[in-house]
Amino acid sequence: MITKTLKTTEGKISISMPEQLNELKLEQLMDMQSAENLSDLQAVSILSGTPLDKLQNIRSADELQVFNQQVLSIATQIKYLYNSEAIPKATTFIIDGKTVIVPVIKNLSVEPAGAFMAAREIIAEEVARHVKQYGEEEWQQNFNPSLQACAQLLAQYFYCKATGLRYNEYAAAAFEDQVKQLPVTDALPIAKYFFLSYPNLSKPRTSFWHRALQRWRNAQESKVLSHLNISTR
Amino acid sequence: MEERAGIKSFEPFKYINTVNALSGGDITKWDDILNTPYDRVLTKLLLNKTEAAYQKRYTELMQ
Repeated sequence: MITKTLKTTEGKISISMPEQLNELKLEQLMDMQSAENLSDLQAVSILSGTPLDKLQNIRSADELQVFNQQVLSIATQIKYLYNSEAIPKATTFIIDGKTVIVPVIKNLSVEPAGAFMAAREIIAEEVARHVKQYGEEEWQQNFNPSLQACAQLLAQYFYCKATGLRYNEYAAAAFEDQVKQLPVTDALPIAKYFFLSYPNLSKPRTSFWHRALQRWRNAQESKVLSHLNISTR
Repeated sequence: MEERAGIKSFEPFKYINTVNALSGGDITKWDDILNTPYDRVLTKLLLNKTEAAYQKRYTELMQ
Protein backbone atom coordinates (compact mmCIF):
# COMPACT_ATOMS: atom_id res chain seq x y z
CA MET A 1 0.00 0.00 0.00
CA ILE A 2 1.11 3.54 -0.64
CA THR A 3 -0.30 6.28 1.57
CA LYS A 4 -0.41 9.99 0.74
CA THR A 5 -1.85 12.89 2.68
CA LEU A 6 -3.66 15.48 0.57
CA LYS A 7 -5.17 18.88 1.39
CA THR A 8 -8.95 19.24 1.26
CA THR A 9 -11.34 22.12 1.80
CA GLU A 10 -11.96 20.72 5.29
CA GLY A 11 -8.36 20.01 6.24
CA LYS A 12 -6.35 16.95 5.27
CA ILE A 13 -7.18 13.46 4.08
CA SER A 14 -5.02 10.36 4.14
CA ILE A 15 -5.43 8.04 1.14
CA SER A 16 -3.98 4.54 0.91
CA MET A 17 -3.80 2.90 -2.49
CA PRO A 18 -2.86 -0.70 -3.34
CA GLU A 19 0.44 -1.03 -5.15
CA GLN A 20 0.34 -4.76 -5.78
CA LEU A 21 -2.51 -6.80 -7.18
CA ASN A 22 -2.64 -9.00 -4.06
CA GLU A 23 -3.72 -5.89 -2.14
CA LEU A 24 -6.79 -5.54 -4.34
CA LYS A 25 -9.99 -7.23 -3.13
CA LEU A 26 -12.44 -8.98 -5.41
CA GLU A 27 -15.14 -6.53 -4.32
CA GLN A 28 -13.02 -3.58 -5.48
CA LEU A 29 -12.51 -5.17 -8.88
CA MET A 30 -16.26 -5.86 -9.12
CA ASP A 31 -17.02 -2.24 -8.24
CA MET A 32 -14.58 -1.01 -10.87
CA GLN A 33 -16.03 -3.34 -13.49
CA SER A 34 -19.61 -2.33 -12.75
CA ALA A 35 -18.96 1.42 -12.84
CA GLU A 36 -20.00 3.02 -16.11
CA ASN A 37 -17.39 5.30 -17.69
CA LEU A 38 -15.08 4.94 -14.69
CA SER A 39 -13.41 8.28 -13.98
CA ASP A 40 -9.98 8.62 -12.35
CA LEU A 41 -11.68 9.96 -9.22
CA GLN A 42 -14.01 6.95 -9.07
CA ALA A 43 -11.07 4.59 -9.57
CA VAL A 44 -9.17 6.21 -6.71
CA SER A 45 -12.32 6.09 -4.55
CA ILE A 46 -12.78 2.35 -5.15
CA LEU A 47 -9.12 1.42 -4.86
CA SER A 48 -8.53 3.46 -1.70
CA GLY A 49 -11.91 2.85 -0.09
CA THR A 50 -12.35 6.61 0.31
CA PRO A 51 -15.88 7.96 -0.27
CA LEU A 52 -16.19 9.89 -3.53
CA ASP A 53 -17.57 13.02 -1.83
CA LYS A 54 -14.47 13.25 0.37
CA LEU A 55 -12.21 13.01 -2.68
CA GLN A 56 -14.20 15.79 -4.32
CA ASN A 57 -13.15 18.06 -1.45
CA ILE A 58 -9.49 17.81 -2.39
CA ARG A 59 -8.26 21.35 -3.11
CA SER A 60 -6.47 20.58 -6.35
CA ALA A 61 -7.35 17.73 -8.67
CA ASP A 62 -3.71 17.70 -9.71
CA GLU A 63 -2.82 16.31 -6.30
CA LEU A 64 -4.55 13.05 -7.24
CA GLN A 65 -2.13 12.59 -10.09
CA VAL A 66 0.32 11.13 -7.59
CA PHE A 67 -1.81 7.97 -7.83
CA ASN A 68 -1.85 7.76 -11.63
CA GLN A 69 1.07 5.36 -11.62
CA GLN A 70 -0.68 3.06 -9.12
CA VAL A 71 -3.92 2.99 -11.12
CA LEU A 72 -2.05 2.27 -14.34
CA SER A 73 0.08 -0.42 -12.73
CA ILE A 74 -2.94 -2.14 -11.17
CA ALA A 75 -4.83 -2.00 -14.49
CA THR A 76 -1.88 -3.67 -16.26
CA GLN A 77 -1.55 -6.37 -13.62
CA ILE A 78 -5.29 -7.13 -13.80
CA LYS A 79 -4.96 -7.69 -17.53
CA TYR A 80 -2.34 -10.38 -16.93
CA LEU A 81 -4.15 -11.90 -13.96
CA TYR A 82 -6.90 -13.19 -16.27
CA ASN A 83 -4.26 -15.28 -18.04
CA SER A 84 -2.79 -16.65 -14.83
CA GLU A 85 -3.46 -20.29 -14.01
CA ALA A 86 -1.46 -20.52 -10.79
CA ILE A 87 -3.80 -21.66 -8.03
CA PRO A 88 -2.86 -20.47 -4.52
CA LYS A 89 -1.90 -23.10 -1.94
CA ALA A 90 -4.25 -21.53 0.60
CA THR A 91 -6.36 -18.47 1.16
CA THR A 92 -7.34 -16.55 4.28
CA PHE A 93 -10.71 -15.39 5.61
CA ILE A 94 -11.48 -13.25 8.63
CA ILE A 95 -14.58 -14.82 10.18
CA ASP A 96 -16.02 -13.27 13.34
CA GLY A 97 -12.69 -11.54 13.89
CA LYS A 98 -10.71 -14.78 13.64
CA THR A 99 -8.25 -15.64 10.91
CA VAL A 100 -9.15 -18.84 9.07
CA ILE A 101 -6.67 -20.31 6.59
CA VAL A 102 -8.27 -22.62 4.04
CA PRO A 103 -5.96 -24.93 2.04
CA VAL A 104 -6.92 -24.82 -1.62
CA ILE A 105 -4.49 -26.61 -3.91
CA LYS A 106 -4.77 -29.90 -1.96
CA ASN A 107 -8.57 -29.96 -2.02
CA LEU A 108 -10.24 -28.64 -5.13
CA SER A 109 -13.40 -30.74 -4.88
CA VAL A 110 -16.66 -28.92 -4.28
CA GLU A 111 -18.40 -30.62 -1.38
CA PRO A 112 -20.96 -31.47 -0.08
CA ALA A 113 -23.61 -32.29 -2.68
CA GLY A 114 -25.55 -29.06 -2.08
CA ALA A 115 -22.47 -26.94 -2.78
CA PHE A 116 -21.58 -29.06 -5.80
CA MET A 117 -25.03 -28.78 -7.34
CA ALA A 118 -25.29 -25.05 -6.67
CA ALA A 119 -21.80 -24.47 -8.12
CA ARG A 120 -22.64 -26.54 -11.19
CA GLU A 121 -25.81 -24.50 -11.63
CA ILE A 122 -23.90 -21.21 -11.48
CA ILE A 123 -21.38 -22.45 -14.07
CA ALA A 124 -24.07 -23.90 -16.35
CA GLU A 125 -26.01 -20.63 -16.33
CA GLU A 126 -22.89 -18.61 -17.07
CA VAL A 127 -21.87 -20.94 -19.90
CA ALA A 128 -25.43 -20.90 -21.29
CA ARG A 129 -25.45 -17.10 -21.23
CA HIS A 130 -22.13 -17.03 -23.08
CA VAL A 131 -23.23 -19.62 -25.64
CA LYS A 132 -26.47 -17.71 -26.26
CA GLN A 133 -24.51 -14.53 -26.91
CA TYR A 134 -21.53 -15.87 -28.88
CA GLY A 135 -22.53 -19.31 -30.12
CA GLU A 136 -21.48 -22.79 -29.08
CA GLU A 137 -18.46 -23.21 -31.33
CA GLU A 138 -15.21 -23.15 -29.35
CA TRP A 139 -16.97 -21.36 -26.49
CA GLN A 140 -14.14 -22.22 -24.10
CA GLN A 141 -11.65 -20.17 -26.13
CA ASN A 142 -13.26 -16.81 -25.38
CA PHE A 143 -15.31 -17.65 -22.29
CA ASN A 144 -14.91 -14.95 -19.68
CA PRO A 145 -17.26 -15.45 -16.71
CA SER A 146 -18.58 -12.42 -14.85
CA LEU A 147 -16.96 -11.52 -11.53
CA GLN A 148 -20.41 -11.85 -9.95
CA ALA A 149 -20.58 -15.49 -11.06
CA CYS A 150 -17.01 -16.03 -9.81
CA ALA A 151 -17.97 -14.70 -6.36
CA GLN A 152 -21.12 -16.86 -6.22
CA LEU A 153 -19.17 -19.94 -7.24
CA LEU A 154 -16.40 -19.37 -4.69
CA ALA A 155 -18.99 -18.82 -1.95
CA GLN A 156 -20.26 -22.36 -2.60
CA TYR A 157 -16.73 -23.79 -2.67
CA PHE A 158 -15.52 -22.05 0.48
CA TYR A 159 -18.58 -21.89 2.75
CA CYS A 160 -18.21 -25.25 4.56
CA LYS A 161 -14.41 -25.30 4.35
CA ALA A 162 -14.02 -21.84 5.90
CA THR A 163 -16.82 -21.91 8.47
CA GLY A 164 -16.75 -25.60 9.42
CA LEU A 165 -20.55 -25.48 9.41
CA ARG A 166 -23.02 -27.84 7.74
CA TYR A 167 -24.06 -26.78 4.26
CA ASN A 168 -27.00 -24.42 4.05
CA GLU A 169 -27.90 -22.98 0.66
CA TYR A 170 -28.90 -19.55 2.01
CA ALA A 171 -25.84 -19.19 4.26
CA ALA A 172 -23.57 -20.39 1.45
CA ALA A 173 -25.01 -17.80 -0.92
CA ALA A 174 -24.61 -15.10 1.74
CA PHE A 175 -20.95 -16.14 2.15
CA GLU A 176 -20.39 -14.26 -1.11
CA ASP A 177 -19.80 -11.15 1.04
CA GLN A 178 -16.79 -12.88 2.66
CA VAL A 179 -15.51 -14.07 -0.71
CA LYS A 180 -15.56 -10.50 -2.01
CA GLN A 181 -12.93 -9.64 0.61
CA LEU A 182 -10.45 -12.12 -0.90
CA PRO A 183 -7.48 -10.77 -2.85
CA VAL A 184 -8.17 -11.00 -6.58
CA THR A 185 -4.92 -12.95 -6.93
CA ASP A 186 -6.54 -15.74 -4.89
CA ALA A 187 -10.15 -15.47 -6.05
CA LEU A 188 -9.81 -15.29 -9.81
CA PRO A 189 -7.41 -18.21 -10.46
CA ILE A 190 -9.52 -20.52 -8.25
CA ALA A 191 -12.76 -19.44 -9.95
CA LYS A 192 -11.13 -19.85 -13.35
CA TYR A 193 -10.08 -23.39 -12.42
CA PHE A 194 -13.69 -24.37 -11.68
CA PHE A 195 -15.11 -22.73 -14.78
CA LEU A 196 -12.55 -24.45 -17.00
CA SER A 197 -12.92 -27.80 -15.22
CA TYR A 198 -16.64 -27.86 -15.90
CA PRO A 199 -18.27 -30.35 -16.17
CA ASN A 200 -15.62 -32.43 -14.31
CA LEU A 201 -16.12 -30.52 -11.10
CA SER A 202 -15.56 -33.19 -8.51
CA LYS A 203 -12.14 -34.39 -7.44
CA PRO A 204 -10.77 -36.96 -9.90
CA ARG A 205 -10.75 -40.55 -8.60
CA THR A 206 -8.60 -43.39 -9.78
CA SER A 207 -10.74 -46.46 -9.19
CA PHE A 208 -12.61 -48.02 -12.07
CA TRP A 209 -15.96 -47.44 -10.38
CA HIS A 210 -15.31 -43.74 -10.02
CA ARG A 211 -14.00 -43.48 -13.56
CA ALA A 212 -17.22 -45.11 -14.74
CA LEU A 213 -19.24 -42.63 -12.70
CA GLN A 214 -17.25 -39.81 -14.19
CA ARG A 215 -17.99 -40.97 -17.73
CA TRP A 216 -21.67 -41.27 -16.93
CA ARG A 217 -21.73 -37.81 -15.46
CA ASN A 218 -19.89 -36.38 -18.47
CA ALA A 219 -22.48 -37.90 -20.74
CA GLN A 220 -25.27 -36.54 -18.60
CA GLU A 221 -23.87 -33.05 -18.42
CA SER A 222 -23.02 -32.67 -22.07
CA LYS A 223 -26.75 -32.72 -22.80
CA VAL A 224 -28.54 -29.47 -23.43
CA LEU A 225 -27.58 -27.16 -20.55
CA SER A 226 -31.07 -25.92 -19.95
CA HIS A 227 -32.18 -29.43 -19.05
CA LEU A 228 -29.70 -29.83 -16.21
CA ASN A 229 -31.09 -31.30 -13.02
CA ILE A 230 -34.45 -32.09 -14.51
CA SER A 231 -33.96 -35.71 -15.58
CA THR A 232 -33.13 -37.19 -12.24
CA ARG A 233 -34.86 -40.51 -12.40
CA MET B 1 -42.81 -37.21 -24.41
CA GLU B 2 -41.34 -35.49 -21.32
CA GLU B 3 -41.39 -32.12 -23.08
CA ARG B 4 -44.98 -32.57 -24.18
CA ALA B 5 -45.90 -33.36 -20.58
CA GLY B 6 -44.35 -30.04 -19.49
CA ILE B 7 -41.00 -31.03 -17.99
CA LYS B 8 -39.70 -27.50 -18.67
CA SER B 9 -42.00 -26.13 -15.97
CA PHE B 10 -39.60 -27.74 -13.44
CA GLU B 11 -36.60 -25.73 -14.68
CA PRO B 12 -37.03 -22.76 -12.30
CA PHE B 13 -36.52 -25.12 -9.36
CA LYS B 14 -33.02 -25.97 -10.61
CA TYR B 15 -31.12 -28.56 -8.52
CA ILE B 16 -33.93 -28.73 -5.96
CA ASN B 17 -35.59 -31.08 -8.47
CA THR B 18 -32.74 -33.51 -7.86
CA VAL B 19 -32.88 -33.03 -4.09
CA ASN B 20 -36.64 -33.50 -4.05
CA ALA B 21 -36.40 -36.65 -6.17
CA LEU B 22 -33.71 -38.15 -3.91
CA SER B 23 -35.70 -37.36 -0.77
CA GLY B 24 -38.78 -39.02 -2.18
CA GLY B 25 -40.55 -35.65 -1.86
CA ASP B 26 -39.87 -35.42 1.90
CA ILE B 27 -38.80 -31.83 2.58
CA THR B 28 -37.43 -32.74 6.03
CA LYS B 29 -34.70 -34.77 4.28
CA TRP B 30 -33.53 -32.01 1.96
CA ASP B 31 -30.84 -30.70 4.34
CA ASP B 32 -29.38 -34.17 4.82
CA ILE B 33 -29.15 -34.71 1.08
CA LEU B 34 -27.55 -31.30 0.55
CA ASN B 35 -24.92 -32.30 3.14
CA THR B 36 -24.19 -35.72 1.65
CA PRO B 37 -20.84 -36.23 -0.15
CA TYR B 38 -21.42 -35.67 -3.84
CA ASP B 39 -20.02 -39.04 -4.93
CA ARG B 40 -22.70 -40.76 -2.88
CA VAL B 41 -25.47 -38.65 -4.42
CA LEU B 42 -24.08 -39.40 -7.86
CA THR B 43 -24.07 -43.13 -7.15
CA LYS B 44 -27.72 -42.94 -6.08
CA LEU B 45 -28.66 -41.00 -9.22
CA LEU B 46 -26.88 -43.59 -11.34
CA LEU B 47 -28.68 -46.38 -9.50
CA ASN B 48 -32.06 -44.67 -10.06
CA LYS B 49 -31.30 -44.30 -13.73
CA THR B 50 -30.24 -47.93 -14.07
CA GLU B 51 -33.35 -49.10 -12.21
CA ALA B 52 -35.62 -46.98 -14.40
CA ALA B 53 -34.01 -48.34 -17.58
CA TYR B 54 -34.32 -51.90 -16.26
CA GLN B 55 -37.98 -51.43 -15.34
CA LYS B 56 -38.71 -49.97 -18.75
CA ARG B 57 -37.04 -52.88 -20.57
CA TYR B 58 -38.69 -55.41 -18.28
CA THR B 59 -42.14 -53.88 -18.89
CA GLU B 60 -41.54 -53.91 -22.65
CA LEU B 61 -40.50 -57.57 -22.56
CA MET B 62 -43.55 -58.53 -20.52
CA GLN B 63 -45.95 -56.97 -23.02
